[in-house]
Amino acid sequence: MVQNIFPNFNYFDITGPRIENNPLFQFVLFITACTVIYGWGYFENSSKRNYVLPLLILFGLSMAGLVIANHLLWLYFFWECTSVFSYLLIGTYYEKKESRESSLQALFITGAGGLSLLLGLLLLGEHSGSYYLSEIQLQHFNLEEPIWSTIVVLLLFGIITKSGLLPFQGWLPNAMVAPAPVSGFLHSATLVKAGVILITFLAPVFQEMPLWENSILLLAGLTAWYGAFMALLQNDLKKALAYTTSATIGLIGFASWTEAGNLVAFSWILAHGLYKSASFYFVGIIEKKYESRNILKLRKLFSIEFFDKIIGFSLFFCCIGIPFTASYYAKKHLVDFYLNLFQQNYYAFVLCTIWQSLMLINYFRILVFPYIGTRERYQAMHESAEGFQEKSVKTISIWMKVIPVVLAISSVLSTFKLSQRVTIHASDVGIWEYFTVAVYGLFTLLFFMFYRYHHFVNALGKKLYTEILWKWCYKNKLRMIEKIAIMQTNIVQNGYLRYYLTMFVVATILLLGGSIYFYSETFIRKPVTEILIYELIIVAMIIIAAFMSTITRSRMASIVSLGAVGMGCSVLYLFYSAPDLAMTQFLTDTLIVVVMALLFYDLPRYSRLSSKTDKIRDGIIACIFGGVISILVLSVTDAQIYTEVMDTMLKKTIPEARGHNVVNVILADFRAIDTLGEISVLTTAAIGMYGLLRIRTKKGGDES
Amino acid sequence: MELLFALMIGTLFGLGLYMMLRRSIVKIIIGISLIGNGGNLLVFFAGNMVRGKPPILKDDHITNIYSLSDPLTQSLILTAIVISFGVSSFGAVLINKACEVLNTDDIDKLTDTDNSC
Repeated sequence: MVQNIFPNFNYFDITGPRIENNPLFQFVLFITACTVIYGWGYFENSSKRNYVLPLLILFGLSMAGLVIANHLLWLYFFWECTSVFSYLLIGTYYEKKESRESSLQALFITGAGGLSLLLGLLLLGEHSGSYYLSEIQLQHFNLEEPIWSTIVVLLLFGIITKSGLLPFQGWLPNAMVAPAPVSGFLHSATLVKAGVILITFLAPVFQEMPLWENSILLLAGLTAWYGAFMALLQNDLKKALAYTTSATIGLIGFASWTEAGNLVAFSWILAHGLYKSASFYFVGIIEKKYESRNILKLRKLFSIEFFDKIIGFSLFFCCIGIPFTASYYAKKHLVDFYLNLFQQNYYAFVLCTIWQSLMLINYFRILVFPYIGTRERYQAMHESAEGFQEKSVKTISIWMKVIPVVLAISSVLSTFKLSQRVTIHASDVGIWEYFTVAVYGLFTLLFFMFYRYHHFVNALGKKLYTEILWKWCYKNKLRMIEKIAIMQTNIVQNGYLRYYLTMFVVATILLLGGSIYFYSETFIRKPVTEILIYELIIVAMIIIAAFMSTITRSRMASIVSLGAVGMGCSVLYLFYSAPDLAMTQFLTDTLIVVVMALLFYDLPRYSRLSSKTDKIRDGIIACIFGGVISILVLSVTDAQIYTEVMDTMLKKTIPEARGHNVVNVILADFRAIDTLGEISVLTTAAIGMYGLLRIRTKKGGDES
Repeated sequence: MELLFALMIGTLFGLGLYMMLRRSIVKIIIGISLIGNGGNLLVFFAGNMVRGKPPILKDDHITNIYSLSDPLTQSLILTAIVISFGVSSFGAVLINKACEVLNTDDIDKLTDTDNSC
């Protein structure tokens, strides 16, 4: 059966050829190591250290598994692992309501995407004929078939929720309630990249499909612009960083839909991962030291240490991509790609320039702006009558200081790898230089314009965020889902066992009856055996006894009738060549009648509990259920399959197990472990019964 | 015979379900036992049912193993019978004790661990 569902499923081959020379794999492990060291410093003297660090390592491993997974279902497994661990990590400060809500939101959105992704991957595996990514990438499919559109839509839904592309961007900025190591690691370097990484994996398959191309271009492009603008509106350092991450993910998605853009996507993933996690860790340092991550508040602080200024400056240069940093080469790849993609269409180029300038402003605001400019600091000092309240700067662990520096250096060092692949054509050089100059010029211009309306813009951002994005787009929807869930639960699960059972049975009747109706044309295919009179008597006895046990008003009578049903079954087993079953059934049934008769003897009489309408309703349901089961029985008569298992067991009984009774050999030899389990179930039941019987109940108050 | 068997198994399931939908807890356990018997017969029926050919091999030389009745379903049912015996007897003891404490066998009143009646 399993073979039919997953014809190409192999449980053990996880990675296949994808592990060899995989830069993403090395990158993820490197960032994991850095983050763990940083987290060690960050959570010094905090009880959260033992909670966060193991989870960070587990997360890093699942992310590493995700980038090397070759089998689609392993890919899905690691994908869901990252969702679960990120849920736990976002909720690091689970004492706070905000933290719990944000982590729930992230799990909610990525979980919904995960379901859709699973469906998409299964369909992809089934219709491509292979569950191996490396094999799927080499094939060509007829993408005109409608099933491929379904697959693409399902996969894309999973991808955009995970990567926080529009319209599911909301969880990413909210996830910033997590501590800096988590935000830096999960929500910039790795987790949100999972979606775009999957896009690059699938790009060779779908790149010629208009649906794939257009939807990614549209959503990714919108996200890039949205993130760049929203980041401008934020005063919270981490939220601003989160929006720039969103914007960059959009950019990567924009390039990654086609195989030609793979180089751009990968170099951006690496470069962005390095400089963005470094920026987050830097912000973490600032937050720890000055106990604030508000840009305006930080500007009023008098004492920013020189070290922080230096780090901020160098990270800014890493981010904007001055020569000899990783992002320099990433941008160069991007320009090459655009020139090819849009065939010298300079409108696209202008848009790209403006976007880059916006991003520059964002990075400037986050990494440089709060720590320079003494004028506002002096103003603040003069305004307060008591003199400037000099806040004592908290000391931080050396490990925290080291890691941003390490990441910044590796951002420079990684250029050796990236620059090897750059092929500079003479014609491109001119464009590239123009582009860079244009970006820097525009950046300066826009920054001074923006600076005048700084406060206005920030107020706007705050309102937009709390009113529209959080309350309207997410909270209301969530409340609606909750309402539907409550309504549905009240109908289906109202707390009475028999209603649960009724629901269950009705569903069974519909599903079972439906599938029998649709899929079974003829019922009896087996040659019908003739009716023997003594068997007829036994069958009639069973039916009558069963009715007796149901309708009788005496408890003893119904127990004895139950025994009669069992005995009848036992005789039937005997007729139809199952002596072992007959023996066992006979034994257990005798015992159960004795046990029940003893135990139920002094219980109160059956009382009339149900009304007549209840009985009629239950009777109708029971009749239909019995009818469906009868039809099922008739349709399974031709289901006698001589499986490989049975064949092997029959053939091996004498030579290997040295037994003649096949049933006994199966139970005691081939499936001995199962029988051991069965014995332990019985033993547990026996111990439980003994324990229960030893309890003396308070009856008549004669016990203390 | 097939039609008769189908009728019998259907009856067992139907009556078992009817008993399980009652409010008396004793009736519920009787219903479970009935459905258990029906289920065993259902599995038995799905296998190769033949008269008088038990799956006991005479010697090393097997002439036609497919004429024997199905040993696999038989071992499955054997396990099921034994387990359902364990479950029913444990359930019987539990019900006995619960009814002693609470003085009722109506499951709608079994909402508390103390005697509420």
